Amino acid sequence: MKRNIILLSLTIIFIISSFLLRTIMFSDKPEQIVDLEGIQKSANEKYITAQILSQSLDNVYRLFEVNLAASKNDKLNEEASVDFINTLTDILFELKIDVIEMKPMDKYRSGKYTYIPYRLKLSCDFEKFGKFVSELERNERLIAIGEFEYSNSPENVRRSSALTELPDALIEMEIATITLNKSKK
Amino acid sequence: MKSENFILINLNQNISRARKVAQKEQRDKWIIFGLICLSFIGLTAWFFQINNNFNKLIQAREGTIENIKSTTAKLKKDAKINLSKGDIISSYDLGKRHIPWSRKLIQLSEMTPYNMCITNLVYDTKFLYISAISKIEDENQKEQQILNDFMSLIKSNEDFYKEFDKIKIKKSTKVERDSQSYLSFEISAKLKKKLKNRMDEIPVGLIDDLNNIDKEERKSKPKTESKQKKKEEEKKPKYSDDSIRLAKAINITNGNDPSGSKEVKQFQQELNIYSSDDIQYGYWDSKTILVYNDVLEIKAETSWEKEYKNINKMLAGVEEKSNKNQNSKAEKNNTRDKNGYDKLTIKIAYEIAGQIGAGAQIPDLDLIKRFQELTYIATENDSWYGIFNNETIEKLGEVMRTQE
Repeated sequence: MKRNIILLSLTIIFIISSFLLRTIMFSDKPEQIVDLEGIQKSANEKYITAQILSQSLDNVYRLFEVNLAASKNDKLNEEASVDFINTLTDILFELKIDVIEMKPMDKYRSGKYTYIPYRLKLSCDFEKFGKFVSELERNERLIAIGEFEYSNSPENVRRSSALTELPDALIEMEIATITLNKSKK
Repeated sequence: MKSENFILINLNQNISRARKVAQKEQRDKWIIFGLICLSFIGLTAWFFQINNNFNKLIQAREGTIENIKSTTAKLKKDAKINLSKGDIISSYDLGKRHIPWSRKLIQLSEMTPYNMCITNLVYDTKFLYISAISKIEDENQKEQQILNDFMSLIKSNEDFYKEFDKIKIKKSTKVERDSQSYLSFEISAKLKKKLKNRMDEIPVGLIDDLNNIDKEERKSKPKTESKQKKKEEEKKPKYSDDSIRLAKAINITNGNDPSGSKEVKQFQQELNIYSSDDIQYGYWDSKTILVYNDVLEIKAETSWEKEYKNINKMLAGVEEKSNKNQNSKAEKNNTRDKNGYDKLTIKIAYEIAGQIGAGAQIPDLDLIKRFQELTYIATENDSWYGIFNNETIEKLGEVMRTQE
């Protein structure tokens, strides 16, 4: 009987102590660990950035600065971005390429990237087209060439009235700015 | 009756068995009790162990964070954005989708023969269609040959063909216009499903080199600063006022040889050039002249002075590195090497150098004439024969250097 009383009291003590241990000692620790994980991730990101900068990888830093969107609503994820259209127009103007049509299209997401496409209809020679593509590739903003059609058919030449120089080719192309979406990892 | 003849029987056997059973039960109960108690203790210990592990994990994590923060602080750069590994990987992965079209267009234009004209170029994410028209120069030339040549040209261009899987003829037609034959054709090049990331081709060394260039550029500032410091240090007087005063006291004006004078001796002693035990003590020799020039910061301006200084250095055995470099250059430029000068030329050069080392502004006339003759600088018909001119001085320096 005595033993049973001891056992019962021990059990009660154990249950109470376990409860107290859980509430006092453990309760916030898993959360604390999760929080620390988040802090570590943030610190790590700052470290990576600082490391990139310290190694003079300015271009790499600039790539992210210009193309990395922090959230869905970031300005970089905007369709028909005025900034980009301005840049594009500047390039085309500088290269003296005739713009027949420029049409922004619906954006779409592919994996970690958001593509904001634009359909262009241009008129220029092969050299200018090459220079234009080169300028697009050189641009700070990541630009993908989705499709293109360079049409320089003999009919086009025949249709031309000027005999001194060849007429410009007709180019239709689809380009898209690529926005890197901030990784959650 | 003997007790040995009786058998002893315990008639209380049943009672003791029951007691034993009861005792066993009790024992079992205590064992169970003990086990329960032990499990309580064990569980409590386990709880503490878990708590300890939690604490360790938290400490380790805090330590790591502190470490990262301190390392970041050391890099001392403010950044507007935070980059994660995932961001960097995603930017790298973009390379797997990228085709360098500007390069491809250049390559295509380079590969296109002079008599061929690209009429249509279509890229639709899976294929690149090239339509062209080619002039058939020779009637005997096979049309297929033109196509094959062009296709093999494309295939052989490793860089151009890198993203393509296979290349096929879509159609080809022979066109006759104004009594001239043309071949109009279309070929399709299928793009690989999995593109090779061109970023992998960038050699790490190149990145390191670029980084090093950047670093050097950044370091150049402190370097120039250190150079300036060095210059400032150089500007600072390294000789005492006494040394300068003694140097100034030496009279070498109008070609005067101050050898044996009190001033030279004091100067040599003050600057530890020679002690009174040395044979050269009191002589206005090459070493003393060098130190004298150094103390009074007399710089060689004319070629004569430069050569004079060099000769003094050679004789004093303190030739500068830069001069050695010049020597090597001179040796390279001169077809005649060390052994290119005969013994007599070298002997005369040494005699002239000796005279200069002893303080003579112009060495012996005969020696100059002989030296000029031997080194083909002048003959007796030349107006500069016997004149210790720049060419002779330079040649003298050259001969002396080859003997170093």
